[in-house]
Formats: sequence, structure tokens, C-alpha cells
Amino acid sequence: MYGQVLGSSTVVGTGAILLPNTGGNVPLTVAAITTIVVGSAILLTSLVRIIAKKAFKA
Amino acid sequence: MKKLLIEALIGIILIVGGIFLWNQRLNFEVTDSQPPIPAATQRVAKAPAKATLEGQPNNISIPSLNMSLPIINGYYNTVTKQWNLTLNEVQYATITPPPNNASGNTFLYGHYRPEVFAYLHLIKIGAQAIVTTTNGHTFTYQLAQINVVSPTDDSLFAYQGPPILTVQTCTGLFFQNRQLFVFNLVGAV
Repeated sequence: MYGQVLGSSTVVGTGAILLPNTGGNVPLTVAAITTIVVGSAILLTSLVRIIAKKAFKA
Repeated sequence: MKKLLIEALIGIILIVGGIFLWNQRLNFEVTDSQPPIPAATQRVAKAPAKATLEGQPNNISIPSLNMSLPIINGYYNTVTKQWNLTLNEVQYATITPPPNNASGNTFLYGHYRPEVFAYLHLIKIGAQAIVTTTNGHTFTYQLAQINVVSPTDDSLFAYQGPPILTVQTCTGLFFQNRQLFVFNLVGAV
């Protein structure tokens, strides 16, 4: 992407240096998404079953 | 009915817990107090030969984002392949040339956190970034391009050309990509 890259060093241009991880904790992100999805699924099914139960009684 | 209400409560607790984890995922920093770095790799890019102005960066401000942040040194550990990273500051990669008006690519990086670069993606092409140095110089840069690359794309370290500034933060749902904001030097005093 840099138009004037010359690659003069033996260290660079080979993936030898990884760019900094300035993001977040990946396992924590996966855990957060999983927890939210599972929680939402449980909540949704519970609400559907509660509504269905009330409708059935009515 | 009571069982269903308990299930719904469990779902709510999981959602709240997930939101808490989501907010905590950015609260990490990397500290390498004893980086075993061979000296030969510490300055991959040669220091500018004809620099008339250069200095150790200590602050970056981006007026269009109302952003002003302190800069500290950033070191690369060749063994762990990690850079030191703090929660509230910008790091200057010491293997790249310092801000100067001669040549080379000055590389700054910072966390994708509200306190640092979480809003950097809002910057527009043409916006200015002002870097000040400990010896009193001020370098003004203008945003020229924004690129998203993989963590293994280290071509920026081999750059040799007119003085530019590259600022990095992470992007992607799992922070799997690196977003590079490339600025051209437009003024130095």
C-alpha cells in the first residue's frame, strides 16, 4: 500500500513484525457475544412460552 | 409459570453479563518491562539523514475530532511479537523515524478505546493532525488515505520517501484487522 516501499531491511516486508494489537481481548469478545446470544434465546423462548400459555388458558 | 419466569430471568442475567463482558473486552494492556529486543531490529527504518527538524513526539491532536492525546514510546518485543500498549496513551513505535521534515514513516498506534482511538474512524480525508515534540517542534499532517490491512502487513516499516505519519488502531468485530490512517506532512516549525 505504500508506493515507495523499498524493503531495504531483512526484517521488514516478510511479516516478521506484526502490527500492534490495538483492539481488544478476542476470547472475551467471543464470550460476550455467546452469552448475549444464549441469553437472548432463553429470554425469547421463555416469553413466547409464557404468552402461549396465557393464550391457551384464555 | 414460575419455571418460565425463572428461565426468563436467567436469560436477562445472561444478557446483562454479556453486555458487561462486551464492555470489559477493551480493558487490557500489554506491558513488556524487559523486552529482549536485538538492537539491530530496533530501528528498522534509518533515521532521516537530512532532517532539519525532528524530535521525540509527546502529543498528538486532531482538531476535527476534538482529540488531544499524550504520546509515549512503543517497543516491539521480537520474542513475544507484541508491542507495549497502554489504556490511555498513544504509542510511538521507536523502530520508526521520529516526526521530522526530511523523510520516513513515523508510526503511532493506540488502543481502540473511547479514551484513545475509538472515534478515529470518524476522521475525514483532508483532516489535520498536529504532533508536538519534547524539543518544541510542531508537525502538521494532513490525512491522505485510510487503509485496512492484516496484522502481518509490515510494509509500513520499510517505507522510504517523503515524511509521512501513520496512525493505527484496530478494526473488525474481533479486532482482526488493523486500520491505518496515513497523513502527509504539510508543515513543520
